[in-house]
Amino acid sequence: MSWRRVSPWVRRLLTHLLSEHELRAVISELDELNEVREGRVGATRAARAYSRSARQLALQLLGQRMRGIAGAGLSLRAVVQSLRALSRVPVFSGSIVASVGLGIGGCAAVFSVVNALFLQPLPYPDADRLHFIVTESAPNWYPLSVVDFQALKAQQTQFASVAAYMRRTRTYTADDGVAERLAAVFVTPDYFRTLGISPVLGRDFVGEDGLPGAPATVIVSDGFAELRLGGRHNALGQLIRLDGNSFEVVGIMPPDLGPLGSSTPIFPALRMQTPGRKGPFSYWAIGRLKEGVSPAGANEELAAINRNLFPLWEDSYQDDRATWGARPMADVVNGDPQDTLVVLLGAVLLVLLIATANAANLFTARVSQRRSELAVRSALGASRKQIVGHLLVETGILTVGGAAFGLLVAWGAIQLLPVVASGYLPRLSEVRLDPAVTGFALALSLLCGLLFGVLPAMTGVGKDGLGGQLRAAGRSSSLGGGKHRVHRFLVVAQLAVVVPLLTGAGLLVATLNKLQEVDPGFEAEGLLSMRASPSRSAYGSWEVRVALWDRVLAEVGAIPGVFSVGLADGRPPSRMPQSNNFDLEDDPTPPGESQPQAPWVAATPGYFEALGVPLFGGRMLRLADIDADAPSVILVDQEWEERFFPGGSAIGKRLKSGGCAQCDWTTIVGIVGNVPYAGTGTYQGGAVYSPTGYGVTDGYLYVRSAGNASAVMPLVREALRSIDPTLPLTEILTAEELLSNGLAGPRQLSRILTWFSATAFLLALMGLYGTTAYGVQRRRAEIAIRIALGGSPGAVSGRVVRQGMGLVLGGLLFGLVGALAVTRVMSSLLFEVTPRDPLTLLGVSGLLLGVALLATLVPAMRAANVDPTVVLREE
Amino acid sequence: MGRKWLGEFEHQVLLAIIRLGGEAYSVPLVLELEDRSGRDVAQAAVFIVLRRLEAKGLVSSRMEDSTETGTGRARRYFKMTSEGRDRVRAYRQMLERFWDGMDEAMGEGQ
Repeated sequence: MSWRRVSPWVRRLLTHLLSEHELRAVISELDELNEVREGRVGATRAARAYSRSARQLALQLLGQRMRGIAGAGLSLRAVVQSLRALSRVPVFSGSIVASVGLGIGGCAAVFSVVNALFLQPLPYPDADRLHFIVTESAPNWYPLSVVDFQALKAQQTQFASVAAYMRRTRTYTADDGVAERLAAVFVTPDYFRTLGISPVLGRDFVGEDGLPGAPATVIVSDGFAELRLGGRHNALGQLIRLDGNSFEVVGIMPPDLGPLGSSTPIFPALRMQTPGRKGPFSYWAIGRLKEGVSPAGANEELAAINRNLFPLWEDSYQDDRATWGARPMADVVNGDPQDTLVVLLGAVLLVLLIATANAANLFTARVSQRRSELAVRSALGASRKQIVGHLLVETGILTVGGAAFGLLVAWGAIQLLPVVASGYLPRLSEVRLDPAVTGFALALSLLCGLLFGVLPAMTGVGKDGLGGQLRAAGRSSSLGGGKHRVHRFLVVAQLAVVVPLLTGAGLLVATLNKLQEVDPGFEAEGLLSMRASPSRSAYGSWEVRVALWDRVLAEVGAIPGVFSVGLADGRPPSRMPQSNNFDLEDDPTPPGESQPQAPWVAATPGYFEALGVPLFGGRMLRLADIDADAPSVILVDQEWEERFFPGGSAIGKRLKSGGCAQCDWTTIVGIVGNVPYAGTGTYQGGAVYSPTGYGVTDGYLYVRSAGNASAVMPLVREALRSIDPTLPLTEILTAEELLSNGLAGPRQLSRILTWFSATAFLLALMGLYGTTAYGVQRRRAEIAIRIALGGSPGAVSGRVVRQGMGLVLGGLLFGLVGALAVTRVMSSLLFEVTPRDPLTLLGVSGLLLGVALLATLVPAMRAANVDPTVVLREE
Repeated sequence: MGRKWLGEFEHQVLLAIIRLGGEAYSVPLVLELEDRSGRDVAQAAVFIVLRRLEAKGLVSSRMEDSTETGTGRARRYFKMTSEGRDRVRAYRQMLERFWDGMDEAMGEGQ
């Protein structure tokens, strides 16, 4: 046997732990003893003893080194002892692990969103080179048109590839005739290549797929192929029917497509036909910059292409200030959730702070309770370092417990995020508990452990040891005055942190209430809406669609109990169909300036009647308005009239829509009530209504009836089935559901913040109660003497309450200052509520004072019930 | 007072050093301890105890590294210090106090 036959890890360990000379001596002595043993017990046993000795030596030295690093007391035995000790106080241990773990879990969950949106790149190769190419017309920016994209593709040199896409919905009809509405993204052939992803089966699109008149092809998602087409291999080559047209499946995409492809089942090839005008601007263009090309250089070329293109289409587009620009894809995809994330992260950090302060309070109290035990340890020879080390083992165990629980909470919260936060945070399907988030949670745990454990351990064991404690009278958990001051400080700090949280939650609740009070612009009772999407193949022409809708409106309107029925391509309060620019005859846009824009809704006359939107002047739209030789007319709402003709009337005024200089004038014939389409409480600058509702390709049917709106749904289905059985009806919602869905974002946010603040409030109240109770315990003797000398129990309890409420007032004052400073970041999330809303601040103050009073009353009453004879006998 | 107690094995190792002439390295120590105790002794345990005794100031060590000259082995010799001798004596006196009068008791129990 020789040193070389010892396990490599043992050799490596000993080489690391011993000096060169020491190692040489150890090896030499092991060899020498081995030779002796070979003669005594045989080579095999000697070799075994050799290996065992080397291994034991390595482990013993390693253990000594670890004990040296961690300070005195860290050994497996110490850990086991501490675990036993903590298991004997399950309420204490459980409270710390649960409260700190909840705080860490919440922080980690919010950080996971920050990580996914801002710290991790998009899940595409070299994602920082991916950009959106958009039309910039300050303050707006919008997609490109077919003309734009074709020019871009032909002339650009700065991008390795460019592509365009358009989001639509299509009716997929399965082989058994069942129709369903699916989200579809129509893409140009280079779309997936630009993103850097490719089909796992079949082929990607090629140039021919995008040519007008080419056979219709589609690439589908992995999920769609599995669920609807009998699996990946069966799906290839199948013909699927979308809006009555057949598309051949040529490729299957992998499951994870990132933000520009996830949740989309079908990607039909986009075949662009050059239109007769510059618009519409419906195509989102993306590009991958070439290596070494800067965004600034690309922007220069984009602007030049746009400048050269402008004069060719000036007849239909006059905004010569608009230019093209490249925006980083991550910025566009993430949107602008910073304010929301700041509020959420701030809230969870405050909750964690409170939980940590509570844990510190508990830990300090525990150290005080164990002073006798620790003093005995000191008397038996344990140094201060050893005692503190022993307490740190407990801190370490609780920290590990808190971290483990926190990771579990974070995992659970991340699963819930798409359910509770989808209204105001994007890309939640990409949020994960990855190494970065785990590292964040562990680092936070370490910090909390230092704060709640180390400080109390160091301050709880004085520099001169604990010997004097053995001489202290009584075995009660009496705290020195200094330690009680620490508790009181922690309580004031906790309450000061709670106040901004409660204020933030209160402001969001007030905002939600204000939003719920906003006039929706229509009468909700008895109103039902649904989406109806006729297939393009059967209803491709304008005339056929007009005939369809005319019949639909007539049949549904004839249903008993139905008062009125209408059709539009928009749905209040937050489904805007499109936004259109226009040029007013009375106030033409000066050259070089951008034309104004407003939501443009195609509607039938029955739409206004069904929604209960009043006509304030002029006349309603008529079916005759869509005749080919009829003059072009529109309605506008009161907000639009006030915006462009303040104090005057818009009836009879004229405009040209869509920047089309050669088109006929459009005349405003009526003024209707305001209806939101951009979201409740969101400014939209008025809405315009055109009579082309009869010709919509994808519209919303509105049915007003007596009584329960949902009750007529079976009859409506029957009526539509009798006209066309393949016409799918989706998104069936009552008006109440529409309004509720429109407030999903603010509601979710206010709920989350309310939950955070309630948790923090509860933790702070626990700290207040505990500190007040300890104070009473500490002064039992004094209280007993006061009562014995004739003091009234009422006066005693009153004193306790005053002392407790003194802490509350201190916390409230500091907290209000903090709230005034902190709630400013919430301005963009509030509606008709200021960050310093006095009602909210008063309400929070009242709540805090009232509930805190209750928390101090219990210990106060206990103080009043102190029996002087019992206490003084104990003393 | 607690830090000045000797462990049982520490005591045995110190006695073995004395028996081996006041200075020894691990190999003869292991063999001496096995002979005296009648059981196997792990060389690693002797290494660790010697380091601990040195840290307590009860022994001192020196290196004899004849590997550099290519003629022999490297060894680390441990020698009892005066503090070590005092501690062994004190330990013996403590044991004698415990055993005082025990002969009769042990004899009655037989």
